[in-house]
Amino acid sequence: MTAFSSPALADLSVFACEPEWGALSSELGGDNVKVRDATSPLQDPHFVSARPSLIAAVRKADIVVCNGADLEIGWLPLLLRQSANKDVQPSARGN
Amino acid sequence: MKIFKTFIMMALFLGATPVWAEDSDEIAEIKAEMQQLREMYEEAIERLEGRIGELEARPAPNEISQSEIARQAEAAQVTPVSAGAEGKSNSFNPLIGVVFNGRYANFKRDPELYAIPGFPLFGEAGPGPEGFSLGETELNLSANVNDLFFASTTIAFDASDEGTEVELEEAFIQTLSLPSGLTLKAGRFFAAIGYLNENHSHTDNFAIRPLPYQAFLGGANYNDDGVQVAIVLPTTTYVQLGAGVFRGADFPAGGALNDGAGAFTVFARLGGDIGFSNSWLAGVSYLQAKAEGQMFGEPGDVFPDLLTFTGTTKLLIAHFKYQWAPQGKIREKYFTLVGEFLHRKRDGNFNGIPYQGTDSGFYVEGMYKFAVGWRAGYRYSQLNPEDNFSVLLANTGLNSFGMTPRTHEFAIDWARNEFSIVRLQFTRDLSSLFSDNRIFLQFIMSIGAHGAHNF
Repeated sequence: MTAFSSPALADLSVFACEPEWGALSSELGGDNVKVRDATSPLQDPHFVSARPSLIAAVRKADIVVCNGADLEIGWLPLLLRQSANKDVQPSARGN
Repeated sequence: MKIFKTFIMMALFLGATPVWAEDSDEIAEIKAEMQQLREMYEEAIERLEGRIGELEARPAPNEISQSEIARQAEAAQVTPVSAGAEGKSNSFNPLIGVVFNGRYANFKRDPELYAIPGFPLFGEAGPGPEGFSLGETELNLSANVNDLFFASTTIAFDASDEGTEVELEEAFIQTLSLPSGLTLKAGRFFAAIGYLNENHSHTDNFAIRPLPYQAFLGGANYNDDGVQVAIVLPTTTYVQLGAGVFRGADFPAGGALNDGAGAFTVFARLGGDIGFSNSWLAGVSYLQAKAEGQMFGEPGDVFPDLLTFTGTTKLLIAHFKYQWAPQGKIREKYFTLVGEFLHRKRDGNFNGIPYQGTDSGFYVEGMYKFAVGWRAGYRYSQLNPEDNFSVLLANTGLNSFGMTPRTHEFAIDWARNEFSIVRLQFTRDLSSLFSDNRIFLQFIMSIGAHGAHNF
């Protein structure tokens, strides 16, 4: 799992690759986080299109919470690069 | 399974405990949330149980272990990608990938004599060689340079009867850490115009590029040396705006005019989702390119004399893509509809004779994935020629003979996974003075790291 370091900010926007991580983020952050799940429980998270809506969501995110271990290899690197959001790039604060 | 469910419930309960005890509204809210989570998990668990039931129902355990091995092999194939794409930005190894592309083609007409009346072709445009041939073999190397830059290069080895040509398709750096969603790209790369232009042809759904790309973009991409700036706005709907300045060395530019800044682009793209199953993307882009002594025509054309254009080309492109994938499950089933409209205005001279002309073209393609691994598609392309020009140019390739060039293409492809595609395509070509039937049997396979494809 990618490092989870949440700065104490109100309305932290979380981009969660899977609903499991989204649920965890909601539990931890309560009202202070806004969570966007990239996939639904019905989807196979290995096979997802890098859709424009997801690029827009990553662009707005303060932090990206994902599974790692190549589960999202087919779409997440592309989303991160195309979103041009410096806060969530690999090795940045919100990745 | 029961135990598993209970365990999840307990875990959720424990997680929720500290928040408890505020007021009843909050408790109700939490309860609703938990109910929602429970439903989600139960649905997922039901699916898993179903799968397990399926597996148990299989008679031969060998089969299961074999499919398991295949799955693991698949996973192993993907593994090297992790090194640079997701790993730390200073990782030692760049991603390395090779794309193999071979085909067998059968034409009724000699492809050497292929010409589109009214649209003199430039460079490699056309259906390509007949018989067995190896297309471009692409070598791709890419990695994050550090936390600020990403770099990528694609080198294509193009084997033909004349020998093997090496072409540097792309070699660029891209910023990762500019503020406000800004990106700067510099080097040689596929300009962000249209839809297909930014994609390598091995990601196409058909064996060759559609007619408007043959006529207006030299059958491939506009890739040139330059700089491109883009911004992604912080909106729920995807909005990307950008512009680029280029050397002006690649068709439809030529001769690197304007002191080596002979072309520029502007583009805008919008995109979003409608529910869980529908996504869309739309864009408008513009390329203005200067050319000097741009030579068209091949000895096989109806008019064998060379045509030389000097002047300005203005290309306006509108494109859209729509995808329907039930519940976003693209592995099982989807339908995509892609269309592009290209409008070209040229002002200058051919062989010294003044020319001002406007022509256009479009294509629409639909791809339907009807089962895991199987897709079928159809594409229609058409060109609309300019017929109003100096009579002195009537005996040249600009003469359309009143034709409206068009093609119908049908393709069916099979893919074990996204790394191996085998395609069978039939083309009914009505873009030349003589109609043609073409059959392509093609494979596209890649080894090593292979980045995800654009939407």
